[in-house]
Amino acid sequence: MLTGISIVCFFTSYAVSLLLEISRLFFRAPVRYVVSLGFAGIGVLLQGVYFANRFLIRAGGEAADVVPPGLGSWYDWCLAAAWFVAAAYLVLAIRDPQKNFGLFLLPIALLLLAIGWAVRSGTSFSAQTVSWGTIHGLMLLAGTVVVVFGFAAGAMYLVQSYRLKQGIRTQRGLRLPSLERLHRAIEPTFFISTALFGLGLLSGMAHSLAKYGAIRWGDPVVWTSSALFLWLFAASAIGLLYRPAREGRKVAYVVVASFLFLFLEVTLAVLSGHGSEQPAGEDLRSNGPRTAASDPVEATFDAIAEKPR
Amino acid sequence: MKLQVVGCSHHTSSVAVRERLAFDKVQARDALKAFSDRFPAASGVILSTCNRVELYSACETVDKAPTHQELVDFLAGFHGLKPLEIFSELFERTGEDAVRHLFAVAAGLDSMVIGEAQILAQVKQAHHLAREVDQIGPLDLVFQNALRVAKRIATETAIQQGRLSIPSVAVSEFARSVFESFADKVTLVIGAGEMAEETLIYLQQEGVQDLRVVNRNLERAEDLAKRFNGLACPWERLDELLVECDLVVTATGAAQPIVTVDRFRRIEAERRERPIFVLDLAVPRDFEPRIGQLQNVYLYSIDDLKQVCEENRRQREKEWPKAERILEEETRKFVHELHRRETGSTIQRFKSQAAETKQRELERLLAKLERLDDDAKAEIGKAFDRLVNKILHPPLQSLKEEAESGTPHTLLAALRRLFQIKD
Repeated sequence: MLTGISIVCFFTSYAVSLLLEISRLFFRAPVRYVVSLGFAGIGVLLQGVYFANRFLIRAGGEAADVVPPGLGSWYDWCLAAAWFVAAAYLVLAIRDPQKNFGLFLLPIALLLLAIGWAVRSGTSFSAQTVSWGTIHGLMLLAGTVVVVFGFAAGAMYLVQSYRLKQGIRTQRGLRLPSLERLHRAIEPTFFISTALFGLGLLSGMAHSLAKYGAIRWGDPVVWTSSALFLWLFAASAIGLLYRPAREGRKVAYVVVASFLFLFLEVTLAVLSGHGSEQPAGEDLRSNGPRTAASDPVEATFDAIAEKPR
Repeated sequence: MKLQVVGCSHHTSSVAVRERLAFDKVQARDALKAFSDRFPAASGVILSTCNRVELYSACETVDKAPTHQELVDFLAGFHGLKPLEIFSELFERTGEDAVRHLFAVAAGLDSMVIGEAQILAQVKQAHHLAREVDQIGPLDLVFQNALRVAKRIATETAIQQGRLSIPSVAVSEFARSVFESFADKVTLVIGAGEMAEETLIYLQQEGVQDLRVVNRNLERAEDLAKRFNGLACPWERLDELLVECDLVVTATGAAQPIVTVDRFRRIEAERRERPIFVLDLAVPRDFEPRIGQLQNVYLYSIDDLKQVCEENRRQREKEWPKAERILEEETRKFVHELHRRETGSTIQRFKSQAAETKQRELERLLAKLERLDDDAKAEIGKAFDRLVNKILHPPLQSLKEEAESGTPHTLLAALRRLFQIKD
C-alpha cells in the first residue's frame, strides 16, 4: 500500500505547514488555514501509511523473526514520536483555528524526523526481548510525547507572559491561548510523564536483568533516564506539596527544563545505540552489529523501491 | 422605484437635534404605521441610534412616492415639531446615493467610531421592525444587501478589528489573554466612578459574575455594586480582597498610590503567587508601577492602553480605502441589479402583451385558412413570431441601454403609455 512514500514526503508536508503558520504572523490570507491544515493532514496520513507499511512488513515479512513489530529501531521511535506531535497539532488546529500552535509543535515534529533520518542506518532493537523491551520503548515514547506537549505549552506560556508583561498586543500576529488555559495544559504533563518515565525505567531494568543478568549502570542513558525521572518526580511532588511552585511562570520554566533534560537523554540514547542489538563498544550476546544494508526491514524496503512498476 | 433617505447624523446635526428626532422601539412602530397611512404606496424603515435618525422610503411608482418635503413634514409632525425647525439639520439621499449611504452605515463606515460593529445590529433591528409591521416592501432587498455588504467588509478588511476605547482594549487585548473564562474569577473594583463603570460593562459582557466593589464612600460602592449584581465592601477590607481576587479594576481619585510595592508584596505572599490582572485606570495611578515587575502580576495603566487604542485607530484608517472599494463595487452592482429588475418587469409585461395579441391574430387567421396543411400553418406561426420580435427589438434594446446608467423612468413611462401596458 503506497510503498513509494518516504520520510521526505511527510517532512515536506510538515515544513510547508510550518511555513504557512509562520506567514500568519505577517499578513492575512483567508485560504491559508485550509491549505496549512491540508498539508499537515496529508503529512500525518502519509506518515501513518509509511509506518503501517513498516509494521506490516515486519510483522508478516521475512524480518518477523529478527525485529520486533512496532518500534524496531531508533528511527521508528523518532518517527512515532513525531507522528504523535504532528497529529496533536492537527487536532489542536482544527479545534482552535485562531491560535498558532504549529509554531511550537511542528518544529519539534520536524526535529524528531530529522533525528530519525540521521540515525536511519543505525542498528535495530533486539528481537529476543519483545515483552520488556517493547514496554520500555513504548513507555519512554509516551513519556517523551507528554514532555514535548508540556514543553510546547510551557514555551507558549513564557512567550505569552512576556508579551503581556511588555504590553505587546496579543490579538494580532502571534495568537496564543490564554495563560490560564496553558497552565491547565502544563500541570497534568508532570504527573503523567513522571508515571510513564517511572514505568519506562522499571521495564528497562527488567529488560536489562532478563537480557544481561544485571542493570547496566555504566550506560550513560540509564543514569540520565534515572535523573530525568527523579527530576520529574521531584517537580511533581514539590508541586503537589507546595502550591506556589506550580503557579505562573515557575511551572513553565520547569517543563522547559524537563524538555532540555529529555533532549539530552534522547540524544545520548540515540548516539550510543541504547537498546540496539549490539551497542557500540560492548560485547553482548547478540550475533554482531547489523547495519542498514543488512537490516532485513531496510532490505525489504530497498527491494520494494527497486521493483519495476 | 424611488428610493430615498431623509435624516440626521452626528455629521450633520447636534445631539440636541438628534435627541428631539429620536425614536424608541414603540415610537418607531407607531411611526411606521402612521407612515403607511399617509403614504400607502410607499414602504419605510426607521433607523434610530444615538448617532443618527434616518427614515428610508421606497416606492415602486415614482409619482406616488413622498417628496423630500413630505418626509421632513412627516418626521417633524410625528415629534410635534415645525418642519422649518429641522429642515436645515436633515440630509437627503436618493437612488444610488441612498443605497451607498445605507451600505456605509451598516458597515460602520459612517459611524463616529469607524468600523464599530454595534450599528449592524441596529440596522438589523430596524429591518426586522419594518418587516413586523409589514412596511418593508422593496426596502427588504436593499436592507438584506446592506447586511451582506457589511459582513463582507468586516470579513475582507480589518476595519472592525481592534477596540478603540480604553476599557474595551484592556479587556479584549489583555485580560482575555490571561484568563480563559471570567465566570469563575473574582473581580475587584476599587473606586466607583464612570471609568470603573464603563469597564464593568465590558467585563460583564465577558462573563464576570463574582464582583466586589470597594470604595472610601460605601454608599457609592453599594450603588455601583447593585447595578452590576456585585457585593459592596468597606474600604478596610481592601488587602483581604486583593488576596482573594483574580482581576482588579482601579479608578479612584486618590492623589497618591493606594497600593505600594511593599504593601503588595505582603498581599502577594498570601496569594501564593496566583496570577493577578490589574487594570489601573486612575490618574495619578493607584498601583505603584514597580508592582508590574513582580512575577505573576499583569499591571496596565491608562498610558499602556492608550497606545494600543491609537494603534488600532490608525490600523482602521489604513483599511478605509479597501472598505470604500468594496462599498463602491457593491453599490454599483446592486443599483444595476435594481434597474435590471425594474425594467425587467415592464419588459416582461410588454412581451407577454405582444405575444397575446399575436396569438389572437394568428388563431383568427388560421381559422379562416382551414385548407392549409400543418406545414404551412407552422410557417405562418413562425412568420408572426419573427414579425413580433423584430417590432419589439428596437424599443427593448433602447430600454436595456438606458438601464445601464439608471432606471429609465421616462422611457418606461412612455412605453407603458404608448403600448398601454398595465401592472
